[in-house]
Amino acid sequence: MEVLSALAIREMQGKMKASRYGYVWLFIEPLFYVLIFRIAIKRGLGQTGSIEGMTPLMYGVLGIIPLYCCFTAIQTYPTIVKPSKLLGFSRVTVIDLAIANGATAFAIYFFLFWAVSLPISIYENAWPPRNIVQINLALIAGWLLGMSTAFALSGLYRVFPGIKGFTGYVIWGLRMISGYVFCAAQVPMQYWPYLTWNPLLHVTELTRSGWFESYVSPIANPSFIAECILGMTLLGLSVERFMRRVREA
Amino acid sequence: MSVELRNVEIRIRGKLQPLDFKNINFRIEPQQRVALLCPDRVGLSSLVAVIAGIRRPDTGRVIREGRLSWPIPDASFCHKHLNFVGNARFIARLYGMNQKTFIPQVIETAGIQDLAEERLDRCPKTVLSRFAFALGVCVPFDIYFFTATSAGEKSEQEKYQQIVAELGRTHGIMVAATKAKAAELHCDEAFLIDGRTTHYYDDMEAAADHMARLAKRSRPDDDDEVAEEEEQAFDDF
Repeated sequence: MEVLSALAIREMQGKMKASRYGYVWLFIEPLFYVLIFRIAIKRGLGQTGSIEGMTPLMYGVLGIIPLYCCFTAIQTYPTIVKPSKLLGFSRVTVIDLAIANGATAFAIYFFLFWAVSLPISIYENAWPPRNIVQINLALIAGWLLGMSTAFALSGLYRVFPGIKGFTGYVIWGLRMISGYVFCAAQVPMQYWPYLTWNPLLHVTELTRSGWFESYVSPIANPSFIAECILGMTLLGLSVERFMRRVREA
Repeated sequence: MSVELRNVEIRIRGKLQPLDFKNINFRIEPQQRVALLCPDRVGLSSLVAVIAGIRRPDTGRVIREGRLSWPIPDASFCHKHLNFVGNARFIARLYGMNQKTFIPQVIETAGIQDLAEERLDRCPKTVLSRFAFALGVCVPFDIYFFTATSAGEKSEQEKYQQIVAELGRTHGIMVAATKAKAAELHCDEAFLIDGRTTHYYDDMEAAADHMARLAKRSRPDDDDEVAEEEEQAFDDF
């Protein structure tokens, strides 16, 4: 923990150091999407009221920010493969670096989530959330899914570095089918089997149903998320270890 | 508590003349004071990166047991936009040192009491090298790995040489250098790595002679002399 906290604090200190007001830029991106989403709902759909009993701004926040926790964790996969100067410290391993990197991203978006949710929900009369523990667990689950995917991806990246060029598009596609701009209740029931394989959709459904009294997700399944985390973690760590051993042999 | 390289091979590409280190084998114990000598342009920095764990060898294994320092005085891990205290705090956190005693000790060893709160990118390089050196020597290690045995201005170098000498009395020391002179003062033994083979010397003078011969050989003016030497070596063989 000593090493992880030291690395995470260092990572935090170095985040966006090149740009002035670096942290502000990190926060602006998800907030920009929330705003665009709100405008799109108002203009395009002519909706000003609730979506399945959820207030529109909070609906956007609950779909967008939890996915940032996951996708920024996924994007740590190059740190597992690329040599870092920090590996010169005998106490630091590649896994420490990846976890510290992911933990920094999680801390930033976890803070952003609550910093944004609090005033918006008060403004929309959606405060307090129905189940804070469920929401926090969903955020952590999203991050864990992202980290385990990053470890699995690191093996692929080692073999085929070109995947870095595609990850952005894949993440964009994944974002679109993970409840970024819709919730399960809006989708006709016959399409659910095509969407529910995705544990990230379960995560966004859990955050929404954890916040609103009026929304009970028809598909959210915490045990499915736990199984996916366990499976992906085992796969990710095995791939990372295998690729490391292959190189050493 | 040792550092061991077993059948290590390192390929260095992306240069006009690709280089290879082949079959590097050596073991360094905690109480040894060893020089790792590598002629110019053979790729000492890559070897240092492999020993420190920054880079993986292409084949073979590097076994590090116990506490080995990072290459001192490397400061590339420092955040340049932070001050000296902030960077020292990172090392204190990483190695579980007491910040209240460690940070003043580093500042004092580096002699930067007036600049402690200054950002690194606003300080001269000599100050930075003193700080990096102090950071490394103030953490307790079993083996200290140096890529330079002094820091700062010429007038200050003696102080740092003394610190290295004192560390050498109680701990293991490994000095990686391209010139034997840099290591002669602190080391009793040497591994000379010329790319293809690792030569062991328990006498630093002999290692220095070998290094001098290799340096001579790499100079184009001495081509005839080298040819003669090679001819002689072939005859001896």
